[in-house]
Amino acid sequence: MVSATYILDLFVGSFVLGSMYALLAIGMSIIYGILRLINFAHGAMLMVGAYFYIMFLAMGLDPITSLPLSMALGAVLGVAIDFFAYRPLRGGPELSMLITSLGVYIFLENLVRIIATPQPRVFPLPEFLKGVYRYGDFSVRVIEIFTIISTLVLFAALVLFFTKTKVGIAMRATADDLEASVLMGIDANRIIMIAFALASMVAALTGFLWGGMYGQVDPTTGFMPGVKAFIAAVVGGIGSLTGSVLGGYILGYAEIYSVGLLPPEYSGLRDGISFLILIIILLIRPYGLFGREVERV
Amino acid sequence: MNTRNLVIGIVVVIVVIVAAYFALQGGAGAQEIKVGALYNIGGFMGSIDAPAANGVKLAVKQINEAGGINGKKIKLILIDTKSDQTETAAAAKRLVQEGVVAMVGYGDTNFARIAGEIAQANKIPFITSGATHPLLPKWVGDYMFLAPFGDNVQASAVAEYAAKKLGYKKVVVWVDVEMDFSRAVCTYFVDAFKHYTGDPNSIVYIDTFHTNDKDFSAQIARLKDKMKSEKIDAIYIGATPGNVGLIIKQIRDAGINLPILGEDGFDTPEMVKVAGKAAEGTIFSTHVSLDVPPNDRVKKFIEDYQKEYGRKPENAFAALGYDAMMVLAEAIKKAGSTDPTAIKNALERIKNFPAVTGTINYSPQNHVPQKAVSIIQVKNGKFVTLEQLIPDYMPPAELALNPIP
Repeated sequence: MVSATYILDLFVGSFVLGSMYALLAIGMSIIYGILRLINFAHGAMLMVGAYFYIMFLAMGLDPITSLPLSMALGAVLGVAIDFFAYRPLRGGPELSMLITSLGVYIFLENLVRIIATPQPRVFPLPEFLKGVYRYGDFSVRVIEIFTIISTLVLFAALVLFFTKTKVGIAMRATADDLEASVLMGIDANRIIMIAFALASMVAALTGFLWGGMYGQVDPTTGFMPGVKAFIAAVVGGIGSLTGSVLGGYILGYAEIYSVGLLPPEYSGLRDGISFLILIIILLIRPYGLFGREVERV
Repeated sequence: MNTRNLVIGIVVVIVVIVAAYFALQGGAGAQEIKVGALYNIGGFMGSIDAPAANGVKLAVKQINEAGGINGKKIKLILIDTKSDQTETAAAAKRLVQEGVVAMVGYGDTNFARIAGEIAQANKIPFITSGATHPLLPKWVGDYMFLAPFGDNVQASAVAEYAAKKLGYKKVVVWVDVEMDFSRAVCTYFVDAFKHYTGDPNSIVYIDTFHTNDKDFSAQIARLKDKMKSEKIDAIYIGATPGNVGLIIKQIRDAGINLPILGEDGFDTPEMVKVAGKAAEGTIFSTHVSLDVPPNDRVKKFIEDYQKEYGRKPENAFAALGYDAMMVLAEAIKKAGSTDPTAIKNALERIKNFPAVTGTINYSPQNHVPQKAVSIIQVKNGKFVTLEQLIPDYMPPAELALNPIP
């Protein structure tokens, strides 16, 4: 009944979707780790990143320069948002930052709607990512391979960054205990800035991958991925890098396999299943798979 | 407060009241007929609603240039509801407040139903230019009219073309479970295709998706898998303008060459823009052939539209918007009055009205016109007419009360 290629097709589909969730969840996790902020605006950074890329292409640049430039601009925007929206609230209750982040999301979505019109835009995929490899029945697109590899490479790079570099270690220290790290001479504002730059840069890259995979973007594109990435981060244990990546893959696999293996008339339940997984995992492990219980004073 | 300020204050208040009075007079002037239009110019419905709104505006311009209706000019109040169902309700209520005598609008059933309910509650006729659910008048009430044919007609036309002309025997159906329109049109297609093939097992299976899904890899994997074990001739997709290009592109990217069939949600420039070469060969049903104008009415409409907007009509919905406004104008003329109920009664007496998209007949029992369906195929990025047909078999409208899946 269920053939091997079918399972393989589903496997690739889930791997790709999971990769994109994982990339976004990493960003959410980095910011949460340091600021204890669930940054709902993070999904909008994906959408904005995709639009930045389209903008640079429209300015006549080639794809190879447009991608890094859109990531850089995404990073700048992330830092700017932190500076104007979150920094004034620092030290206040966590709830006000959470609500501000929702506001930032709505602001970004509507800003793009005004500047770029609400019509969906075709996302032009660079030539070298357009191909398809076929092996008999099984086929895989170059952009799919590119998405999977760039996620894994980025994950490895980030692990090295957080364990081997001084800034990375300082970031982990800040995440562990903000006050103590400030007493040790770490410039907290600088660390937070780096966190936002890093997270937003990764989100902009995800925007490129998302647009390339599905071929079109519109101002609301970031919403569902943002919510899913949040679930992924919580499932994995928010604040943990490995947990976020794992959470992203769990979610991607759950979504695709639930559609693929349940009878077709239940395909519509995919989002419901993601949330069900969230509830079950939180019931069993309230701090997520890799999360640590946080002691509150 | 001294006397001088008091005097200035009083003068300002009086000026404001007088100005507001004249402004309202101007708006509700005896020499104008207020007509409301609701369209999703922004958002995922934009690619079919924006042309429709242009069609309405063109009709209003022509009516007014010809001296208006019974000596009165039409004042069109157009609101963009940005593909947001909550804005739809608010906008419809605002039109009621403005005192419109009738409303036209929308290319999708969900939106037309929300606005139609509000119009119905206030006894104001609502003509939808592009919503095709044949049960709309039954759900909403006697003030609801359709300018296009119903979904049972267009689904049956594609089923007939696929079964008889193309000889397809086995098809797969993909339904958008979130859209009333998609569930209805797919339900009618399943019924009609079984009728034409005479084979109750001619629908291999039915798959489902959501309007805002971006990733169809699981549905595509299942399709590939089924294609190995069973003979499948084509796939019928109940897609809407916001996702049709996306779906077709992903199916073709996965290396599936199965013929794709669809409905009037495919009649959008977005499909070819997003899917590019992948859209080649796609066959769908719509309301009028704009590439091969079947008569002078269509030819003249295309020329007028081109003159007004500097481009050809983007799709059949432009013509439907034009038709909805024109048939409304005809009813107002017949009614000899701007009373909404008189207009509704006049609409029910419309017989053989020569619209761009075909002939419109209404009666008190039937608010859904029967018109010929244009079967279109994408060839070199252009929409080419294969055939215009009135299907032999009409799936009963009530089938959509129990829609698939």
